[in-house]
Amino acid sequence: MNAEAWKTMWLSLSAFLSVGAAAWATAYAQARIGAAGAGAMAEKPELAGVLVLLIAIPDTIVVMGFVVGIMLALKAAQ
Amino acid sequence: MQVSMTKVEIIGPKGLLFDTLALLHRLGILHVESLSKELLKSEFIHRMKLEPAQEEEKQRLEILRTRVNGILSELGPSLQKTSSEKGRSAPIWAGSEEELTQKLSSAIDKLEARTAKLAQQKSSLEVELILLEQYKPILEKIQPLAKEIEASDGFESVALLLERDYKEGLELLEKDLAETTKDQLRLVSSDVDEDTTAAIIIFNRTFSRSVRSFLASAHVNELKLPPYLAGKPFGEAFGFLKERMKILPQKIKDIKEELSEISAKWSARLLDLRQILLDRLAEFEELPKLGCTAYAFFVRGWLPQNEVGKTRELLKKEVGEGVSLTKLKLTSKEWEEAPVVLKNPLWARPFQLFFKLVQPPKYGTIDPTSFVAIFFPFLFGLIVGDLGYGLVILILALLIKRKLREMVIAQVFTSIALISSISAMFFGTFLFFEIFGDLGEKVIHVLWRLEPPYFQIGGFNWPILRGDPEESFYFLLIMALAIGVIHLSIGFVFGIINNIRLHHYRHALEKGGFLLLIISIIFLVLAGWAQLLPPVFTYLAFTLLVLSVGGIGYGGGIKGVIEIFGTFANIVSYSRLMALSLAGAIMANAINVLASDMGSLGPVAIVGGTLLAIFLHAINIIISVLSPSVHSLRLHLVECFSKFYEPATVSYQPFKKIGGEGR
Repeated sequence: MNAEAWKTMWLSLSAFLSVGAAAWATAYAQARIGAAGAGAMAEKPELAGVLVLLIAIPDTIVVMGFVVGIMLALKAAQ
Repeated sequence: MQVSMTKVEIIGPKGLLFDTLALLHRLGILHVESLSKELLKSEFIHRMKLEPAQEEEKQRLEILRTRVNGILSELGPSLQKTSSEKGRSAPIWAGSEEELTQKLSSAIDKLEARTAKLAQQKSSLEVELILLEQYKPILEKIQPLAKEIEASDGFESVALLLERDYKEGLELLEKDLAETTKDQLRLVSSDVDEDTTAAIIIFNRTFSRSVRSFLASAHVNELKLPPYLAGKPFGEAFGFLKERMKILPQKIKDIKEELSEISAKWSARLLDLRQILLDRLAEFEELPKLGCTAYAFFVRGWLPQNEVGKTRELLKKEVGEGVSLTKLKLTSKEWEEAPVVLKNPLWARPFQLFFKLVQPPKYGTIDPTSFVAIFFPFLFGLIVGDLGYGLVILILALLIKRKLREMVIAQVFTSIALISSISAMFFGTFLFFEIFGDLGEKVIHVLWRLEPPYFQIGGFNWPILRGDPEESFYFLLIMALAIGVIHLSIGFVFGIINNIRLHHYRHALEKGGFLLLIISIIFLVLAGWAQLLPPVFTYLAFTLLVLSVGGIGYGGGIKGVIEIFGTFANIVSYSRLMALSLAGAIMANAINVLASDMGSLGPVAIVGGTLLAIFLHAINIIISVLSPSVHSLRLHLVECFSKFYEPATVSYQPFKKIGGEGR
């Protein structure tokens, strides 16, 4: 395998890891927040709106992962 | 926009207290403030208490309320829907307090015993019917068994019910009982349903006690029939049960009809009656917030400024010259306790809903409703950016709006969806040219053999092809970050204004520092990196940068300087606009590819492909409504509002007639 192929492979792998790991981390955080939020909502249903917002907060991780991933993927495609 | 408020004090002789309260209650605009500790320090001022006669009256009304609620619950929730229009029966209850209480009592006396009796009869008949429905399949199975082992006078029978999983236990039971009865017994069994097996044991009456005590010690459940069936032979009991099951529904129906008649005649009046009771009780419950001296009472509270004159006039006209209303002069600390009332133009009003998630803005600070009403649909539209999707959301919103006219919250949501869908259609048409993903492009290709991009405007291709990240990624990323810079800059400008209004000048300087920081970075990027500005701007940018960090440090201290990194993170967070925008478009294109590939397999597959496309686009539209809404909201509440927003500590709760618990 030549150097260019190695570079493409590593870039693609990095892009995969960037999105995959970030998505896993977001899912983990959202699961925790969701579970705690569901408990809180059972006591106070009026917290539903705030809960939706709280669940959206860890989304930043996957969004950043996606941005970095797509940049790497575009680089690999060049 | 916040409504200007005024703190007022209403003073009058104690004799006019309830007339004053009744008027204020009817007007429903005074936010009554509880008596402050400072005022209570005076030896002449006390908290208002109920006189013994008033206390007695309150208790009487509370009892009446409980009785009315009892009657209404017996009439049933569905029957309560036959409520009258407001005030329909008001003349019936007009008159003095004593007359009112008498009328209420006599009305309740008439109804209470009758409805309670009917409701109890109905409930016991319903319970009986349910029980009989449970016994019916069991007796149906047992009856032939009972016939099979026709019991003579010297024999007795016991019916058993057991889970089918333990059916094998019957053999053991038979063996044990055979020993107890010296083989003078017979046991037959049959399955009742998937889970239950019924059995009948017939044995010599002389062993009755020992058989029953054995069954009890072995924890075998004997079938207990209702009292009026117990002791009867199974065949006779079954016949009686069938007869009873025929009669009961008609009896229940008759009672329901009778209750319906009562409801049609009385429920409207009862609801009005409960409303009057609740309103009257609310007046009593407001009393401890009021102050009094030996001969006078006083109320302190907040009124919208434009209502002060009208309220004063009405007090004079309806209660008398003895009651006066004066405006109070306040310190800046007292102003902070002012309740907040928002009044926005019609187009922005639905967005006040977001202040259910956070407290409304503190009195005297900027009300960001109009700002949210502009940016929320803008961000939503940028993410969805599809003419077809926007149109579907618009149609759905209109349909729901029409269908759920009475539901306030549905009206608010659909109004937001309507405005946002127009924004999605705008971006879908003029920026991305997307109709259900790249369906529009495909149609143009088929009709005119044209491939995007169709035009070049100012060095940019039109449309921006979101489905092709190589083409659109950097454009969208820069656009998202630029929107973030603008959004946050407006937040900092609001922050400066708010802090000046609240006389927090150092914080205003801090916010100004952040604004300068953003401006200096814009100059640095435009002059140093993009080279769109002359190099002199680089020096200007550095000067501004130093000044901004100084301002932030002076205004916000170490925390402020650390917040610089937070602000950068906030700007980068806007890249989600690009990410969500791309993801939605790629998903829509993938659906089209999937459907067209399927459709290419043959004529039948075209129908399948179309159905698949409709189904998947429907799912994508649902995601396209939820995700952009949550993220646009988050960019406002988490990123932008943290730059300026001060929540109110007191919400406006005017002393007004609530119109009954059920409304």
